[in-house]
Amino acid sequence: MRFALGLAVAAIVAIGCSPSGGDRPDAGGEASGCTTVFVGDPNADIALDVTATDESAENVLREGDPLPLVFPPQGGRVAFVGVRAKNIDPCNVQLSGALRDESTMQVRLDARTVNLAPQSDGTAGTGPPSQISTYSNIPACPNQWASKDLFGQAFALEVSVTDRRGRKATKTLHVVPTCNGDAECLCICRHGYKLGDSCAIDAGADAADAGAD
Amino acid sequence: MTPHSARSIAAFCLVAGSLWVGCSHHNDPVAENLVPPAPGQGFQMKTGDFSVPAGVEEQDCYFFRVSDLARAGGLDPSKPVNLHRVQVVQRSGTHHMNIFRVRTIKGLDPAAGIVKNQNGTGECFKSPNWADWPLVANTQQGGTVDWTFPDGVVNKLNPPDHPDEWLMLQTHYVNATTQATPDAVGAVTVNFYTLPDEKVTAEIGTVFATKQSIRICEKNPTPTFSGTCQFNSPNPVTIIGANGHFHSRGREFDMFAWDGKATSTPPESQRFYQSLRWDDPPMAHSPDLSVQVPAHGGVWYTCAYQWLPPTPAVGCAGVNAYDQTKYMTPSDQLDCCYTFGGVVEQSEHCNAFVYYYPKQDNVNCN
Repeated sequence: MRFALGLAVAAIVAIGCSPSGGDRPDAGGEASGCTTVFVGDPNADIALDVTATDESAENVLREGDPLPLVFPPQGGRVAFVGVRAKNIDPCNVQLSGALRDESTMQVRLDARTVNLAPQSDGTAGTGPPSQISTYSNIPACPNQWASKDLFGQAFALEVSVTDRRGRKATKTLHVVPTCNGDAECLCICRHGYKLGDSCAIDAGADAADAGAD
Repeated sequence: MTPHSARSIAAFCLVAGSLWVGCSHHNDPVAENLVPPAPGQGFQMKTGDFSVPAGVEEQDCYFFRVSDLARAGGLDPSKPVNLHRVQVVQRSGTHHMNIFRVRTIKGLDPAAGIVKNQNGTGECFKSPNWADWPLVANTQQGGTVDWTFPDGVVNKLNPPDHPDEWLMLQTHYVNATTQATPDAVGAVTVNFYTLPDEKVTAEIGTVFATKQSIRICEKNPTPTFSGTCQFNSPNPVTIIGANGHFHSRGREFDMFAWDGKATSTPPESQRFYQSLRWDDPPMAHSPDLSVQVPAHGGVWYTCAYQWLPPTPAVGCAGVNAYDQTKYMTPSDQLDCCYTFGGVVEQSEHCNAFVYYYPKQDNVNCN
């Protein structure tokens, strides 16, 4: 088994994969099975819209829009952030999403390699919404980092894509993370939450807090 | 037994001689033989031998009440425990061993006793059950750890804000294709050594960060996944322990000191951890590891993968079935993808474990 493992490791080395890093184009992607053709004009700059999903629908975000905080498989709350892009090679795209508290400049981020899929509007994009691995999974809560509640207040959302040709585009929006009345979300996303703090839910308190979300 | 294995056993026995009594008939640490701390100096937790049959991934969750452990170790059970040194011995075949402080109780409850699960099914495999449980100690295949924290530095158990803590010891053994468990038996023994109150100068904080929703697919075969986790400290902190965890498609796990603000990978000079061995990842710790992170900084971590065909026993049909069952992936999205999950043969992980001081909070970045 170790011999087989050695061969596998040697094969990986021989392929010449790129160093890791969320902002680095991955040359190994050239050898991938992704065959989706270039979307748009290769001579034009990448045109980028930022999207978000609550796992049921994916919507393009505009300045000031709510950003859903979603319960992911491992717990906590995350924002699933995607893109609609034109003039981009959609295979093995490095997608990076970051939520920034502009009063401290602190960020939480997620960067990953995804294949964008052709969309009916002529763009290439993340999704479908049920496939959360195609989105940047920004780990927002437990809120052990921001200087304010992670709901009901504006944060900067910084999203970038880098295609395997090394072409990059970045877009920044101000969004308002929202718990949509989810009581545990309101608890673990509040300013000052400490890991293990009780989130005993009081129905009356929930209703009142939900209004601030 | 090969000459190489004989030399390995001899070397192990020589190194371990002062710590443990005896060595097994092959290169397998004898968890049963780890000598517990002397009375008043600490305590021991042990699972005893348990069966890991061929073709099985066994993941079990054991619970220990700190006050009970303290009493058994000749310590005052009403006082906090100043953990200063961790010894772990595991029989070969271990995939990971984590110890967490029990907090919010969901699907795992100390009152219900040990939970023994197999092949990805059961509460001990479900990470939301310990989503807010701070890390205390961990190790992976290789099976042995002996780490004394820097002078005066402790991890305080039964702290004033949680004076009656329970610990969960989670052990994962694999006896399948990608890993094997010799003799089909697992065992874990852990010693916690303490430090007197008057010698304590600082507390340790821990970070557990996990990338979920990872996907390593035939058509996206070399993905990387990067994330960050802050210490939320107004002053610089020092990282003194780290290890990374992924499965057999993992080719590189990196961690960097990070300023908490940058959205691109920190420079190579800031890298403090690298693992190129999924099946025997290094456990970096002090005194060799001592890296300062600026105020409000944290850790940037990256998992890089290479898609490989599944083992014949699993096949693409197996990973696709898991993808459909667990993530409800529609048929047109199936691509022989390894997804997030605890079963080594058919799923992947990207978990970072970091130890630092002085403590601000224990941090989970999910």
